[in-house]
Amino acid sequence: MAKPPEPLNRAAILGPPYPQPVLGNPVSSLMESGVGNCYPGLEFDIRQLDVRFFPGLTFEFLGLEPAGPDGTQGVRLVNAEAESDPLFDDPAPWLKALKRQLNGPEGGALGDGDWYLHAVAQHGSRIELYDFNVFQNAVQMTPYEGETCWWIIRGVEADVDLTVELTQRAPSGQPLGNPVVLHGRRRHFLDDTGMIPDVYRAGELTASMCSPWTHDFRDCACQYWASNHPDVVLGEVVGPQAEDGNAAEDAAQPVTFLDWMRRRGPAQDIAAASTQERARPERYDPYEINLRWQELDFVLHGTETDGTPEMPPLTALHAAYPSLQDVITALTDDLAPLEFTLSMVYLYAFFSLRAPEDISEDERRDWPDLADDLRAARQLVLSVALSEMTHMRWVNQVLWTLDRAGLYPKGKYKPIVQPHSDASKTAAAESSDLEDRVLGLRPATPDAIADFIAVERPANRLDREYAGLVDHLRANADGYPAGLYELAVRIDSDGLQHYQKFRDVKLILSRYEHDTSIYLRDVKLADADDPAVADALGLLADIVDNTIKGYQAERADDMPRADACIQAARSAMRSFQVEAEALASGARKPGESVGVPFFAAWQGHGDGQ
Amino acid sequence: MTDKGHTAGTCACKSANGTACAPWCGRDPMSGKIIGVYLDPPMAIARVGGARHPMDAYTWEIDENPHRGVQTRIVPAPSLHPRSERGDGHWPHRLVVHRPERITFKDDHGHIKPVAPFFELWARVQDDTGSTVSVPVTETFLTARGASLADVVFTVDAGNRKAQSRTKLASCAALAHVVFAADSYRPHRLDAISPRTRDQVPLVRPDAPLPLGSVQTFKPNRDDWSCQTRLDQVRLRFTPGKGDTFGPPDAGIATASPRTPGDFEPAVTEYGTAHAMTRPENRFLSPDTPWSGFNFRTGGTPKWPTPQDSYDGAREGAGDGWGTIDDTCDVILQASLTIGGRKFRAMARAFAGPPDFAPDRRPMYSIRDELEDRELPSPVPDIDTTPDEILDLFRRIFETASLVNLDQRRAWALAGNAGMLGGSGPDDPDWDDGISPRLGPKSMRADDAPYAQITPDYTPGQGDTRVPSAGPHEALPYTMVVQQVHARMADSPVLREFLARRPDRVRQIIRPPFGRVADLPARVGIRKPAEVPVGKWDADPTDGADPRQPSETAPPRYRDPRDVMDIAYDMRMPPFMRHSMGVPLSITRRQYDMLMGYLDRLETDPLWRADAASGKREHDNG
Repeated sequence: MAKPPEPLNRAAILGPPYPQPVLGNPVSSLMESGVGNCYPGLEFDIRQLDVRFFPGLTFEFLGLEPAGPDGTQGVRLVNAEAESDPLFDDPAPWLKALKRQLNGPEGGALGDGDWYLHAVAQHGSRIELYDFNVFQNAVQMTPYEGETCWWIIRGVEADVDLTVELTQRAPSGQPLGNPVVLHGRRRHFLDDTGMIPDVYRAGELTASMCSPWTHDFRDCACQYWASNHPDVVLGEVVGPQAEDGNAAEDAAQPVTFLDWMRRRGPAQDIAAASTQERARPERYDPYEINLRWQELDFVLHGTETDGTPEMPPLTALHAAYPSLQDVITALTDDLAPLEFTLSMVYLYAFFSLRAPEDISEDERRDWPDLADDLRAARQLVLSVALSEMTHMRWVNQVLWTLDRAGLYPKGKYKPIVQPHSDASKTAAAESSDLEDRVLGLRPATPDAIADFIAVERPANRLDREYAGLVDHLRANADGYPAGLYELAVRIDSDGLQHYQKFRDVKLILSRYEHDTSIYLRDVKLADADDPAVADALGLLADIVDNTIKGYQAERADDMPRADACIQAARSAMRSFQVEAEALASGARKPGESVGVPFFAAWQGHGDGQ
Repeated sequence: MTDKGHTAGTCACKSANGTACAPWCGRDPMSGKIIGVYLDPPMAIARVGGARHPMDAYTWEIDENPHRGVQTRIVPAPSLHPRSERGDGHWPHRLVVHRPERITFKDDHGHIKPVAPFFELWARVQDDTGSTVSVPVTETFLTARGASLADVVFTVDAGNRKAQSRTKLASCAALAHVVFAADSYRPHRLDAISPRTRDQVPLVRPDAPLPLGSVQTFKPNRDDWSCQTRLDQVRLRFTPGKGDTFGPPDAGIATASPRTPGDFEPAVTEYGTAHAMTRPENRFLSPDTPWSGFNFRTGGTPKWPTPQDSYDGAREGAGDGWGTIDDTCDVILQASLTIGGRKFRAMARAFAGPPDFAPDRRPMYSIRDELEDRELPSPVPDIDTTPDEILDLFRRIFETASLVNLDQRRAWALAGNAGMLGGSGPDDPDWDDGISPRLGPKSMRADDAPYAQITPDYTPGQGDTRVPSAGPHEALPYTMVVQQVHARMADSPVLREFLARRPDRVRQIIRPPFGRVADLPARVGIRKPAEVPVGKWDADPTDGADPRQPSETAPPRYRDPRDVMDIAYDMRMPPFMRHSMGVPLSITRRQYDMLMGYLDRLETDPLWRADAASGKREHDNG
């Protein structure tokens, strides 16, 4: 029998076990690897089970073709007989009774003419498989098509008494005469050994699938099998991507999508398209796929590959924190404030980018891609800024989880939603120290973006700090709640996308570097007491205040209050976004692009004051 | 007599801690009465490929690399390689255990390695105390009972009935049937032919059968014996076909529709690029059967199976089929063991499907999920299992979502909504004004509140458009967001905290499954389907549970497949993906009920939240 799996690292990760195949079989042979929603499916068409949902009867679910309904759509009886159904060997009383019906007048009636499933009833609920209209107080019945009926049949429960009614029909589709009523239960679709019973003959469960299989694999409009048949994969990373940031073996996560079904050939890959119409010319054609499907690539971790990667042991990028106190100090004094600071720094850079709607007609003519480039760059920068806020939240979550577990100094816990002590009001742009430059508010100049890339680079300080946290939690797994390790891994891995996203931003904006005014606003950092930014700073204070209250409520396990506070913070964030955008675009001070002094509330806190 | 001398006392049958490493360890094969036999697995998926040697084994495992996050990966597993007794590749073969260092998916010629699953034969044996145990069926086991491998007979039926299901003629089926004993070690080819009556033309003639693969048994190998590697056990292996396409002689070169999937070339066509659809050597099917030229439009009558345009030729010109089929199939494997005049029978199934091209990404809605949804009772929340099952579900959701082009899905689905519901145009941002959730270009935008919350924040500059403004970099804005959000939900502390803090949000944003018969009104539109019973699994207040907080949102309702608004695509999760029969995808009823029960518990039971917060099981729930 299949052996229960052993977790890779039980101390580190408590998680759901994976199913295990028998010796020699890959997991892709398991039912867990096959896709269960079928129209008509890949491995087999599970809808075929319902063709024989009622013992002794075989149906087909007639769907419309372009000519439309003709009164025969719905669930048509193909066969009614008990003899060829092994289920009737079971001595259950309900099967004996049903067999008597099938061998009696009811079954006899069904042997002549076309019969359709008219209604099903279970738990006292009776559903007719007809739509209806009322004309002059008369009810006109129109049979549902097979697809609709199938979903009703799919909702029939096992082990519950079931009544089915069958009728013949007039050419219009109206039911004729009194229905034949059969009483029974729905068939079980797995036998005692876990197999679909052999009443379904060899070939029956794949009969409704595409012919050949490659027809659907390429041609179906569905795209709902992405787990076995990817829509998009991630493109190759160009440039340094290793843990040390210099080689090409690991770490960085690419963010450019490719269409997996693209035709392989000599030409360079182009990015995946946002509509099927745009994607179609680059994909394999019908028929062509029949002979070329083996060119399609396998995909691991979202990227195309010829096989499993080498799996070197995890590299210790940073000495593990020696003690719990070191962990707490690092998270409280350094990492949480750092995440907050970077979030604000990136937001400032975001607002310094021109909005696509700011582009004039003349500029559109001169720079046809400018609006789309700005849209893409802004989404990337904003997503990193929001991501840093999420990281700050996770660092706080680590802290309050420690507190709940009694691992934090008693009574000392407080949320950390504030800038880093080194955060400066204005960027020390000329400093030789990367962090000096990055911890200040700067427009998204090429130099600033280069610094953002550098600070987010794998193996740089942020990555190393979190790797140190991961190492500490791994080395001391028994002393911590299990979720903390997972959380630390998530923060670290999540951050690696920032590096690639900023690299993409640089790539997108590189063509405008000769004249940054094409893509940048001439944003000027406002003074804290500038009345123009009072509303923005007020909203920022609301964000911070509600976030702190939300974290405190979560620590206290008061989830309704926590959610109310977090939603209030989000609402304030959206209002802030509108206000900051208005300031930066010149809507508040005509002709002036005003930058919000994000760290004003903490004046004196940083070294810039 | 013991099984090759191995008893519970031998190290081969002991694990490191001294316990027996398999239930059958130390069992004397002489003793005990056979009460049944079975094949393991009862069902397996084979996957086509053109390579000569099958895919090695691999398993799923958690990758905990801080640079890749906590997510599923595949790792090589002990594999079984057939070794020729004669040393020249010819049968008979014995299986040996191979431990690959790495899994490669294609051979040196670029051919995909097929997945060829093994099926192990087991016996259920009862001893004098009445206890039963499963025991591998081996030659020794059989000899001890006066039988031999020749008394184990395999019957294998394989069928491809795709053409038959359209033409309704058995003469268009391709069926293979082989019978052999367990000591017949040659590969038994599953060469399929079409059954027929006297006047019928078989699609597949006996002189040119369709190769659906092969099945093979192996000589016992008593080397390297251990609990985990019983290579003396009777095994059957199904190797599927290569995934080729076959047709009649005229199914050679055809011009392909340049239109998008699901779209039809008009009757007056410009045609597209010409391609070969079959290899010349595969054009041996009979040309004069109803399958050649089959057209789903014939007669203008409704048909099954659906979708009906699912054959080569359906999209060009009048839609006449080229008469092609493939070498996939589904298989019933039967092993019968006759001992003392009594026959024991075991059965299993195999399905030959396409390769799993992303093997470390699991379906969120798998075949197992679908079967469990049909067969198992509604789940009862259990603090020891439910959190893990929900985490596994969300990990699988991420794994599927990470490969979805959500931008394409959204654009496609919203266009379909406008067509189905009479919108003034798919790109009119207001055609669905007053409908919530939105069904037009404002779906997933700020106007789609309260459903849309994060996505508009993450996609600044995207207007109320059906087709995203992606530009030359085609950044796929919605695709990027769904990956970012769901990667986080795949982590237990993040997921559980979110579910505990925002249960109403989760109830609102998850698309309910269709109702069961008992949940639906007699006629559509007269009454609504049943409400989801929010609070059904609340903890008991007398046990210190929190009272349920009043909710600002109405409980969700199960969907009604007859209601057109319930088959329109909106942003509820999973967004814009397609379900069986071409309607919006939901998770299974069982998955949904489990999630709803989990939310009830998280909302009202501090113990469940404490578990969520700490990741520890500090309570005692017996």
